[in-house]
Amino acid sequence: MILIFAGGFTFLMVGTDVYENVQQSIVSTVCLSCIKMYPVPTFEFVFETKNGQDHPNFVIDNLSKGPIFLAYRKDVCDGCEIMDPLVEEVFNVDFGLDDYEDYIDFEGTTIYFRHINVDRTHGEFKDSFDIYGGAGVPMFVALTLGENNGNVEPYHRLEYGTLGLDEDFARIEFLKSMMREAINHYEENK
Amino acid sequence: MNLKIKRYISQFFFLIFANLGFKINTFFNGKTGFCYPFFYCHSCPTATSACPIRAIENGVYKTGLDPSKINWKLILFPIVIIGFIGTITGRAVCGWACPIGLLQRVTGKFAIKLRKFDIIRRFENHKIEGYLRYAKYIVFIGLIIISTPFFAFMFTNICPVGFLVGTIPISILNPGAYYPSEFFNLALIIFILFIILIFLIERGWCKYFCPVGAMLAPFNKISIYHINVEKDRCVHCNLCSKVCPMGIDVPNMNRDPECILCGKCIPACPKNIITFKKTIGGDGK
Repeated sequence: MILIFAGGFTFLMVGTDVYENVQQSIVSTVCLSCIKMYPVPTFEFVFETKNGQDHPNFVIDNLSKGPIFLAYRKDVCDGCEIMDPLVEEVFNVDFGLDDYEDYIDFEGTTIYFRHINVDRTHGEFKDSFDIYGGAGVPMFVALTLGENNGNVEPYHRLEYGTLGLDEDFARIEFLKSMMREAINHYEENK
Repeated sequence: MNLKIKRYISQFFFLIFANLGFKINTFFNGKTGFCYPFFYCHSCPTATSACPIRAIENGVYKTGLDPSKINWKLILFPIVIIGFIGTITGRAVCGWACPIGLLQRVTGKFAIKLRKFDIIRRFENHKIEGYLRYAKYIVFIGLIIISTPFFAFMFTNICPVGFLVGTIPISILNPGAYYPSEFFNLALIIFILFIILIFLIERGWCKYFCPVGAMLAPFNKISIYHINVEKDRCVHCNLCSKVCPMGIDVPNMNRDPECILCGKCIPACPKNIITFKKTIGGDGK
């Protein structure tokens, strides 16, 4: 029996990526459903990224075309089950658990929308989770342009969880107003 | 050094080991990809490893138990870790390593004093107490194996240990930075009941509700290390059963799944017929 378990453990450690999987998707990220709390809404746009790193290339590339909305989730995420249908409704998109991107019309403005599953994505999309927040999922980032000491730079707002609201219609309005504010900043600074 | 001191040293060692998960610099990042073999929450800011229950939940979440959708790696990983340790030491992990076991060792001193009250004694001797011990298996199967894949409702959503070592420290370290989720109120009620339970009943969480204890318990039947009683020499004074934190009928037990191998019964025996025994490939007799 010991040999079976020892062999199974060795196989999982050597022959699979389960160690990295557990380390990255369970241990290293705060489990918001385990702590039964979400970070409070910020309501503010900022220039500095959360971990001080530069904005990823896919953001810089798309920001030249219009504002951006990023929605992050993980495979196992209670808050995402609540928020994903609302995000789909607000932006008129249809995504499942996998990554999804599209240029969409939001109230007359073309924006770049990207849904990112942190457990399934890779490269700069995975890195962007820590660049903008990394404190848990669901996580939403609206990116636009702002003026910083005379320079026009990427300007973003970060929100988490169910947005501190209990009703779906209020959450939808919150997401819409977040995006409208991003569009206003973009129009002023493009 | 007596057994009591050895067990305190072991429990404090594992408490420290379980909490080396902070990141000092690029050279030291204590966040590993292992699962704890005991009950502890990875949402604790200093946690080193993953909660085995959460890993299993991640493996079956919203799969409807469809084998093609289940993430077998995430299920098997905690099972082989717990299985390996379980086949060697049985449920000794609960008595010698689990930080929540250490907490209950402290609150248990209060619970022992409460035994002078008739209502506590009557509960501990009532037949319903025996049935209640199966609750941990129901918690494990109901909330982790059934509810998580079919209803996306997980044990860790309402876990009182997550509340104790995750919610409370994170709230203290980040005042005003978080707001309650949809499960907070229910989890708070369960946490309060958990605290009441461990102060009222010695090892109440281990006995009745711990899902990791439910995973480890069957291994007592085949583990290498176990508690052995020389029954033919036993005078049935029951002093061993009186000190047993798990409330086991020690003289009549045969590799009881509830035994946490704490060894409290060993010095209590006036005939010195209770011992730790190492058995490989036998039934321990």
